[in-house]
Amino acid sequence: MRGWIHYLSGAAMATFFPVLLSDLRLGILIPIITGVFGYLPDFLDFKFKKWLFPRHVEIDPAPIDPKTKVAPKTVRINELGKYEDYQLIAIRGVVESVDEEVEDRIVFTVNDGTGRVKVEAIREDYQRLKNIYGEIKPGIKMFIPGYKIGDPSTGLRFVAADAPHPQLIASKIANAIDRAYEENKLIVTKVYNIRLPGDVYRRFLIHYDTPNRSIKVYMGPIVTTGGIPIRGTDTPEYRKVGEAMTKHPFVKLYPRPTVIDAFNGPEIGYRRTKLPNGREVVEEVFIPWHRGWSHSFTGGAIAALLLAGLLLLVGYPHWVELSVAAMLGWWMHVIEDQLGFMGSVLFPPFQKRRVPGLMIGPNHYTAMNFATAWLMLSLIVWNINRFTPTISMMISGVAAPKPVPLNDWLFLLLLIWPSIIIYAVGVWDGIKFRRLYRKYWKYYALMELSEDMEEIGGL
Amino acid sequence: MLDPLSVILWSFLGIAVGVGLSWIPGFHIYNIIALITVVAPVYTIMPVEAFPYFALGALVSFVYLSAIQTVYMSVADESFVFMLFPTQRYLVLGRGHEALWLVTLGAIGGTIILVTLGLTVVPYIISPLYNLLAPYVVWFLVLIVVFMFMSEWQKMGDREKNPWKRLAVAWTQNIGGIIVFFSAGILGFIIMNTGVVPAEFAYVRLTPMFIGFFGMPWVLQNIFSRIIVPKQRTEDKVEASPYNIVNGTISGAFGGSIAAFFPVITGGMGALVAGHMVSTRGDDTFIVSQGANRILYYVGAFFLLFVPTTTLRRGAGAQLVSSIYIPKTWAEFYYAGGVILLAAGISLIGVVYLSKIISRIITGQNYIRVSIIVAGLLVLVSYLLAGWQGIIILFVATLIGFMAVVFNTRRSYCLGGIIFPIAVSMTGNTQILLHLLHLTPGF
Repeated sequence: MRGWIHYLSGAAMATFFPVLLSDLRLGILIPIITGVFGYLPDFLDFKFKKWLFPRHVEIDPAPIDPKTKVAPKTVRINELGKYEDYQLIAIRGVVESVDEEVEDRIVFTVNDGTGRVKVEAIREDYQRLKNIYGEIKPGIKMFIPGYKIGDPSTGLRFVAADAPHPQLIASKIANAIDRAYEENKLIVTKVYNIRLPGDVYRRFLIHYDTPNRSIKVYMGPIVTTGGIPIRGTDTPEYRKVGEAMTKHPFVKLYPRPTVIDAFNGPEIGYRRTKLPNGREVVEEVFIPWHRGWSHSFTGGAIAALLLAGLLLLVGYPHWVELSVAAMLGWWMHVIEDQLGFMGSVLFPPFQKRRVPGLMIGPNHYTAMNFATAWLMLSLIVWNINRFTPTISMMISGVAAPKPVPLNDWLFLLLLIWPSIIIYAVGVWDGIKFRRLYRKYWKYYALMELSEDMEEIGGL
Repeated sequence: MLDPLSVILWSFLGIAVGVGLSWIPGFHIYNIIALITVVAPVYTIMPVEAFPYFALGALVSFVYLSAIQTVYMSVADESFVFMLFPTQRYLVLGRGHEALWLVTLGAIGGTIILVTLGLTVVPYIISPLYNLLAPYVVWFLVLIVVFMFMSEWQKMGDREKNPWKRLAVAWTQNIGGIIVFFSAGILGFIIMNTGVVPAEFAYVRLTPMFIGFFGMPWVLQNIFSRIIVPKQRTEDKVEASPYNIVNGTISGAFGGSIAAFFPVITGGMGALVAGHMVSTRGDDTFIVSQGANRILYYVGAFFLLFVPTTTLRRGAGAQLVSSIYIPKTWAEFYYAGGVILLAAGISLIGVVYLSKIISRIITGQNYIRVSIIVAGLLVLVSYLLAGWQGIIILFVATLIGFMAVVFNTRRSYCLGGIIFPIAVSMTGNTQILLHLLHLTPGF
């Protein structure tokens, strides 16, 4: 669910308490805290925990230039050795000589005053350089994005490209998985995204090929922050896929592909875990700083207790009602998140792992979001309407009539029917999705069985 | 009451003013309505009953045509502001005309929704809804403001190596936002509660502040960015799925309606809420939603002035016009519906052709010269509206508005200039704050 929905749910909880509504009507705004509590789980995770969480491995496919704040970073040739193979960087220099040129491939030497390097461009990348500079000949000044391969001691070359090679990402993830297995601890990998001029991003996708113990990374097109691909920006076939094998088995339980493009790149944790059949594998924990204590019923109760103490301290008369409403707001957040895929650690410290979500409405995210928002708005309107006589009695001693003079339950039904219908569709959609999901797991289990048999010489 | 022909004629005049001026960067139709109200009294120009239709025609065409300013005349580079607006991104990619079409599609959708619901459902639900929710308006307002602060995405800090440095850099932006909001709030509080602006300019005393918060920093950013606009494609087609267009229209209409109904809540704040509710994602959906949002926010709020079953006045336009004449009859109400459709139709033609012309003119240009002229115009408007005090307010507000750019934070925090003093007033704390700030109450 989007942030506002959680916030609104928290705010809606205040309206179940006439004393809090009465305060709001009098301009005493402390009950806003219930809305804050509704959003607090995400606020704590995204505004604090995310930044402070340790990172064990950093994968930066395209370092950003400190001046332009976008990739590629322009580097001096004598500093190329400091960068990792396949990272997207750029050099700027003068062509000294053309060393080799055939139909779809060219090798030339570039000097930038700090050193010289052999640059290789093939197929689409060669064509792109020709489109920009025409014929490549000694003396012309060039700005060449690409990546280096090798190091100065063994011979280094620079490959012209408009994207990093995905091999860098695949290899580092495979290493992180093996490290998690061997060290038996959570290894957190920070995968930076690729930000390019024009505030657009190069998309890439990490695929966990569990049966083959292979990590495949696909370098995709340039996309906008909204995720819309820009036509004609896909990478050439010869540097589209990177693949690395792991020594140890792994599994991805979160049934969504890992796609990295706009905003910030994610942190991905890898942790050794035991499957129900006793087999030990490495499990992917997507954004491991998220949905822990902050997204638990326990966390909500503790936060409400702290709030109650604070309210008592400042002498707020309705501290019990407000603390309960705030706790309900926090719990609503936990419940709403539990309707999706990822799930949360619901009762720490008694639980340590996320309880998978209910997967309601997996193909109707927008509708589910709207249905929840509508439900909360309806509850607010319904509560305000039904409590109006009570509140006016509290404030002025006279019971004002309800603004909408309908039976309470009929009015509620009239308000919430769109949410009921959308939720019903979502539940049905979830049932269909879970069937498919089970099929996948059946397939995985079969593959695992084949693998085991292979190990003992059965196949 | 005016006869139908006069309604059409005065509306046409409003539309002509809107179409003729609204594409100019930094221009806002409220400045013209304010100038007409204050500098050139309306009754010397037109019958007072005609003023609402003139303003309505001008307002509709402003919403359609001002998209040209937004798309073509707001430039930035990503080293200056961390994130470009989607329309800026379209412009950089040579798709400015397409972005304009997306805004316009949203505006058309918004117009249809406004007229359909406005002429049928709104007159019957507006009063009970208002009676139900009016006592809680401050709660809703402060709820949205607090959410704006809590939900701001931290753009910087991700690449710092030390965790505490990451946290500090990320929070610079949020703290900057808080500084911007309260600086703007104090400025707004001073303008609204002291005699800093002479009494004869009371109706438009906030205009120089808003020019400073939003118009001037925009112009300055154009000057500093020095971006050269690439060649623009001007085919009349858009790359967006019908689903995204509908999603954007509904989201925008929803956000605009929230902003039109609740006082002080602006289109941007409504859009933030509605975007989360309808889960708007993608540049195309966002741009479409902007078109629908602005129609509902500006025109929808103004249209409430015509609804015979309520006395709601929302937005600066309605406040200014209602000081001259308030439409009262059902006939005037239905005329208004017709004027909206008429103005939308003419503006649609105007915006498409003007976009093609402007996209050709601006190719290969940076905006330094035109931006300097616009900056001069904004200073002149501020002087005409509020005297030399207006220029001082403009200067201070520009500093605050530019602070939002420097901190890479939400520019909408400048709305603290109106939200803060109103929240202080609605909670009965104006006198306390005046005392704390050692200020003398004004008019």
